[in-house]
Amino acid sequence: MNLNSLVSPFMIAFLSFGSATTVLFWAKWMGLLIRITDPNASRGLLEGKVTRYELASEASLAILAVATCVLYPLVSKYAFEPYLLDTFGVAFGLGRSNMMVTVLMVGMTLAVPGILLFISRRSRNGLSSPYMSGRVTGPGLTFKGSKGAELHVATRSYYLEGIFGEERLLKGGIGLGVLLVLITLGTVLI
Amino acid sequence: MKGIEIYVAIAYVIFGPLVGGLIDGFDRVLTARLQGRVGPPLLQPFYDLRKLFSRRIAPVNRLQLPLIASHLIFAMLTGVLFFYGSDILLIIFVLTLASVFLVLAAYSTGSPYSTIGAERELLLMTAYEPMIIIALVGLYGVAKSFNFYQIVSSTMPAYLYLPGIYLGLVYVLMMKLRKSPFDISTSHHAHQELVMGLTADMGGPALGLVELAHWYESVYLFALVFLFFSSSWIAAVIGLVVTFSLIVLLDNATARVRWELALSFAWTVALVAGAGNLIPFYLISRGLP
Repeated sequence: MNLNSLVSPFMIAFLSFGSATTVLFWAKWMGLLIRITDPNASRGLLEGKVTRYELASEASLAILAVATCVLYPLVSKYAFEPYLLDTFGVAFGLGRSNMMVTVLMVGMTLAVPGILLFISRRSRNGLSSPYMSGRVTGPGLTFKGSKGAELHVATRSYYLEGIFGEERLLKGGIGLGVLLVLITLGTVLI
Repeated sequence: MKGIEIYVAIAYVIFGPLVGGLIDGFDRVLTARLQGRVGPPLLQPFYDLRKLFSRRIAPVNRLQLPLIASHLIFAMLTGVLFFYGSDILLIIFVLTLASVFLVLAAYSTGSPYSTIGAERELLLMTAYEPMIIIALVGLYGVAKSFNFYQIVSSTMPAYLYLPGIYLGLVYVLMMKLRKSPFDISTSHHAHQELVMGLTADMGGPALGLVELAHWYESVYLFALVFLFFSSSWIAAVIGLVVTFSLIVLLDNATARVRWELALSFAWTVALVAGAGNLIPFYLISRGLP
């Protein structure tokens, strides 16, 4: 039994929890970005605030990120595998069927909603207003509350203080950080 | 065995909703009996679906329907890849993607009830994902494969080696199948503070698509449970019946938990029953020649 097989099941446990929190982070962010409070409002209000330079750098970042995902098998084959072979003498390639599935997944992630969105743009179905347990009075999430008062819906975010909490993370983070620095110093000095 | 995969995958696309709907029907009959009611006929879910599809399409915005349809397509794709014999660890990401599309569809409406449902669904996803990944790696440890058919043809009884992981998986399946005590994001019954949560702003055919996706999902989720008992047919039948009955019983016997509890309980279960089973199993099986 070598160290590798001792560590790997722990690694899997770490990875499984890390994967879940990554999904929470990205999906929540994307969800907040695509919230459409008023489908009939004119476009470009928010985008107007973004400068051209910012837009250019962010657009190239987005294009590169998508390209990396789509070209992942090629990156693996021509960049990682030669490097691994060179450094460690062994290489772990992505299996051919897994590669196919990965490309299929990324391709479909882009294509499916894109095509469907294109189709739905042409549809002439009327839009209904979101449910707000009160009579909706107009665009932008306003409704008639009690005594005829017009109320606006506002949602606020929540923080998982009890579970992840900044204070808890800080305590553990300082400890782990100090440990890492010590290990780094140790390896350099030795 | 070779060559059968493609037919099973096609059969899944065609008959998946039939099996999923029947599971739903059995669930409703069993639930009614537990509550001392006669309950709906077995085929009621299909009647409900037909009714939903007969209604007018009235989305809240132009983004909603494409996102819901994507949810259905990716839920189907998960099952197709699963039964086609693709790497089940990779499939988990398609499964996650399918759920993300549903959450995004709810977010896009902007309505408070949908938003709360979407937030809670995201927390549930965070809660159940670690356990599902641990379960798949556990199955790999027993069968030395991530392929559905190779795990099925393995003679090692996974439930004997991975009892903790099996129980942990059933625990998180309650979330995935929208069962009490974890039906906090949406449920088949309206909740007071949530209305319908995630699906509050989906009506008619849109809700029908979500229901259809749910049927597709429940088929491969029970297929995942089946993998723990696939070493013998008797074990498989008993295992699936017991798991199903347990889930329905718990659904009827428990009150809903708060979302904080759902998250911290599920992670504790994943850590104690899941990782607590996986790590010793791996260390022991690798220590032996």
